[in-house]
Amino acid sequence: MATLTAIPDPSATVPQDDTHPRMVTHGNVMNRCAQWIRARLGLTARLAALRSDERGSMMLLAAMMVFVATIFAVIAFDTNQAIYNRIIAQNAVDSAADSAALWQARGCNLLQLLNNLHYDVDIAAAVAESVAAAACVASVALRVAENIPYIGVVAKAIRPFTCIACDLLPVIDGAQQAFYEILMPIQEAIVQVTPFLAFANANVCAKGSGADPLLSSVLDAVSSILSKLGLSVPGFDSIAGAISGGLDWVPIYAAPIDPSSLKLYVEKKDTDDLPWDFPSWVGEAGDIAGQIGCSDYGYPDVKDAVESAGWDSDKWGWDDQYYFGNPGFMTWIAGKKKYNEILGLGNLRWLNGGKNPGEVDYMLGQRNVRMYWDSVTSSGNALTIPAFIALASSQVEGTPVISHGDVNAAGKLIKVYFSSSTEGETFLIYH
Amino acid sequence: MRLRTNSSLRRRATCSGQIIAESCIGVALMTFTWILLVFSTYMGTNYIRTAMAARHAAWMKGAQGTEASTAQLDQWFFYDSGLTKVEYGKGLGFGDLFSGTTGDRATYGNAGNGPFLARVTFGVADTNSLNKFPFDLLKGSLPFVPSPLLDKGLSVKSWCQWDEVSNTWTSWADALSGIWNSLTSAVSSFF
Repeated sequence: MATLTAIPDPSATVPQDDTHPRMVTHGNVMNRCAQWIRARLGLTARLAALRSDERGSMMLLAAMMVFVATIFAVIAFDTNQAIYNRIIAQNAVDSAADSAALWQARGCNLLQLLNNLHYDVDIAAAVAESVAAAACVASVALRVAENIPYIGVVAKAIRPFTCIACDLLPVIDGAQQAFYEILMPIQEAIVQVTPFLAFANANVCAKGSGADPLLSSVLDAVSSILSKLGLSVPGFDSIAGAISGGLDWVPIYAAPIDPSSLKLYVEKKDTDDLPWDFPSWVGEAGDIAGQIGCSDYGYPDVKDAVESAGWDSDKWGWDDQYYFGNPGFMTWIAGKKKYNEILGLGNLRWLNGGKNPGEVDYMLGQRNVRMYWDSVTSSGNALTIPAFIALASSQVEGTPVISHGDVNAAGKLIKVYFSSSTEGETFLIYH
Repeated sequence: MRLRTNSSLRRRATCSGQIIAESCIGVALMTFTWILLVFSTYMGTNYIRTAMAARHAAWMKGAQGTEASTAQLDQWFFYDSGLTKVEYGKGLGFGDLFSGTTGDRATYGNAGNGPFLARVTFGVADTNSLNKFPFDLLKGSLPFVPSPLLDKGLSVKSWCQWDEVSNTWTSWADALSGIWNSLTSAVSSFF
């Protein structure tokens, strides 16, 4: 019976039998076991075959190509979206600036229409008051002539008619005054309301054209600009992110850079020219004449009635004002907010070059990490669709608001100006 | 008689068959991805073009009082004809500033007196009435893809709002009707 201590015979052929006593010598135990296992499992052959096995390689290659193509597709989509947002921002601000100019033009045209009406009414009132005053004077003459034989008969027949015209003297003056007191507040209201209408309609047009809330857009743009300039304000992004959501509730989608440019640059003008200024002596002379010539035909009663209606009988004639001037140009701003890249691929940390690959949580921490952090760009916004701010200027053209003339104000988009000192130059468009 | 076999014709124990199969699958996958890439960039480009076309259509309506036809938009903005749809509608009102309403309303039409909304759609907006683009095979439906989703993927649209800048109230008639329209429009936008 073989024993573990048998002396090996070097010349003997070792049988390939695992029951041979020499196979269990302590020097070859491990090798023999490994051989046995490899033989049973066929690992040796498999390992040898693996070197030349090409199965699966095409799928791997295809998957890699698909992945690369997908990345390109995403980049292309994000680029398209960025360009789209830029165009939308410009559309919105152009629409807003044009709308604001439209409402300024409408305000100017309304003022001009009312100026024209005022002018025409004053012309009519001046002619009528002159005729009435002349009738009053004629009434005096006729009343004197009534005492002259023959002529007096005719004078007596005519005087009632001249007195009817004379009685209208305070009515005409009072009506002109009432018209003026109604008209001027209306024009003042137009001057005051037009800026608000321009602002509101511009905002409606900006929103309808796709603009985002302005305050958060500007905040995002400032953040982007600071990042591009390499300026980091501690806590700015977190503060901006915190308040950006709240700012979205503010319904402002476009705004003029200079709020004062919204107002109509019109003011009241005083002049001594007809028909805005009608001399008081005409009415005063007619009044005196009417009290003499038509006292028996109701002139005092008519005058008292008009006085009781609010007319100031001490102020004959009028010295009216009218609005004149023109609006200035406006520069508007609107924008689109910053957006994360599509599919959130920037959150995949393994796409995030520049980070230490030895981190334990490298594959685990896939959230809240942007693509190409600190590697492709220092801003860390390589595939983030940036915020866009667009500017547009508008101007109301046509004849300024004048005393009397054509109603032809019209709004127009013009080159972007930042202030009157740079008028005529395109200063800067950032979008 | 015993046939002599050419050694080169003997079946060899290689992976070539599987590689061919994998290649077929891989090439098909890559082709599909490539088609998707080309289609998405194509539609992305047209997405941008719809923004420009919508702006122009809205501007034409507001500034000139005329409506751009689809043929005009095709000629001015798009490389492919017959795939554009332009719709006009009444613009947003003051009340819409405080709501979530956008210019992409469900229904257009009855543009009224301004401001005007113009919406330009490029592509297949309704697969049920598809008769041209891009492949007739798309006529119908895809598994697990409801029709609205398919429509959304096959078309792009943009919209723009422009005020009635051609009407600056140069006459009393225009001014009075404009004031009335503005008042009624402002009130109705809140309700």
